[in-house]
Order: sequence, then structure tokens, then C-alpha cells
Amino acid sequence: MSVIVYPSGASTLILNGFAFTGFAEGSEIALEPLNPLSEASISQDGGMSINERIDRDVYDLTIRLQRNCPDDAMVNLWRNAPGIMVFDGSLKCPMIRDGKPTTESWQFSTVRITTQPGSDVNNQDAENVSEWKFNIRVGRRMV
Amino acid sequence: MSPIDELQRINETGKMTINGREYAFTAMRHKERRKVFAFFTSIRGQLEENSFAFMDEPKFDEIMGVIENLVTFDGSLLSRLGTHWDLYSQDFIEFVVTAMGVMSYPFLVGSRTGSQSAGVPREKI
Repeated sequence: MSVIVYPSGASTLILNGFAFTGFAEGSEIALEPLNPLSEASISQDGGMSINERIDRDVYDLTIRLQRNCPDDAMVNLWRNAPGIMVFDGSLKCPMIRDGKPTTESWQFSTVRITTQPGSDVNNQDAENVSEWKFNIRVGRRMV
Repeated sequence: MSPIDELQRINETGKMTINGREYAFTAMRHKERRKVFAFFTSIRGQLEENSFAFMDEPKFDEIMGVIENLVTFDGSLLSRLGTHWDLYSQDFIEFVVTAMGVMSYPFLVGSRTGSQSAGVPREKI
């Protein structure tokens, strides 16, 4: 049985060559696979056909940044660039596994912005967070 | 290779190797370069005299915070690797001097040739 300790705020996210540090509190980086790895169909006599999905490596990446921080402004520059910017990236999450430092690594290719933050001017419960969502054509995890 | 050529090489490749360990520079913003350059120019006299007394100044901690948020080791920002310099103290001096030079390189070249440093796109936010 392994004991794994994840230091807080220890992850390194790099998109388009820029390292991000201006995360908001709480859930800062979320990776969600969009499709199953495989599909299966079962025949009447109990046989099974299993197909590997070609879109199995597609992910959505959501990051929550402090609103108007330099990182937020940078992503906004990409959003305002003519055309659609496509870039690569990586995510590195260090941890201590059974007393030894190790990392979980992700490599991203063909990344694009899909959802931009809206605006909520609030004079009571202001959150001041910019939530950006990216689509990743190929995301690969290595442990 | 002259020091300025070495800085140019690192600036172009984004990578420097110290004692067999590779450090990679992420993309930088103008303000970050400017901050490091300003400090670099203020301590150049000390460096020429092989004095590292500036490392005990609060301003140096601030500049190291900037640098460590821009340089990765094995894919992780140095600012995220709390014990890196405890493990690899022998890299530290060369790292600090070279990193400040690399980040200041576009300004150093610009002051010699009048060229401009490469920056991020200047579209309006």
C-alpha cells in the first residue's frame, strides 16, 4: 500500500510556452476526458466486438485564474489574436510516493481555447475568477 | 564561445545545462525581463569582483521568485520544487548568473545594435 502526498500548489502548467502561476484558490486545473477509450457491441449469441476510439485522447482542460492577473491577460491576448491559436502544453504534478519524490506528467498537443470567461460585477460575493476552457486533441498521462 | 554568444545560444534554444542537469526557460513577458535586467545591471559591478553579497538582499529573493517562475527543471517550475537548491546547491551560482544574463540578453543586444527584443503579440487585451 502506497502513501502518496500531494504538495499544495506544486503543479506546473505550461501552455504555448508560458508557465502559469496566477491560479485562483480551490480547484485550479481540471482535466476531463471527453470520450471513452473503447466501445463494444454485443451480438445476440454473446459475442463481443470491441473498437478502439480514435478520439480517446481528447480532453477538456479547465483552469481558474485570478481575474485580470498577468496570466489571465495573456490568455486573453491569445483569445484576441486573429484566427484561432493552436499550441502545445504540459502539466507536471509532483508528489511524494512512499517517501520518494515522483511526478505525474501530461503532454498536450493541438490545444485551443474553447470557452472564455464571462463577467459578473458583484458588490457582495465577488469571486474575481476567470475560468478558461481548452480543448486538447491529444493528452497523454505518464506516471 | 564568448559569454554573449553563449547567452544568445541559450536564449534561442531556451535550454541550459549545469553539471549535467538541464534547465529550460519558459516564454517570458517584457515586464519580467525588465525586472531581472534592472537588478542585473545594479549588481554587475559585484559580479565583476566575484562578490555575491547581493544574494543576501531582500531584492534578490524577489528576483529569484521571478526567475524560478520562468525556469523549469524536469518539467516543473523551480518555484514548485521546494528542495531543488538543497539537492543541487552546486548549480546555484552558475544558474543565477546565467539566468539573469539570458533574461537580460535582448536588452544587452539591443543596447549594442539598436535591435528590438522579441516579445509577445501586442494585440489589445
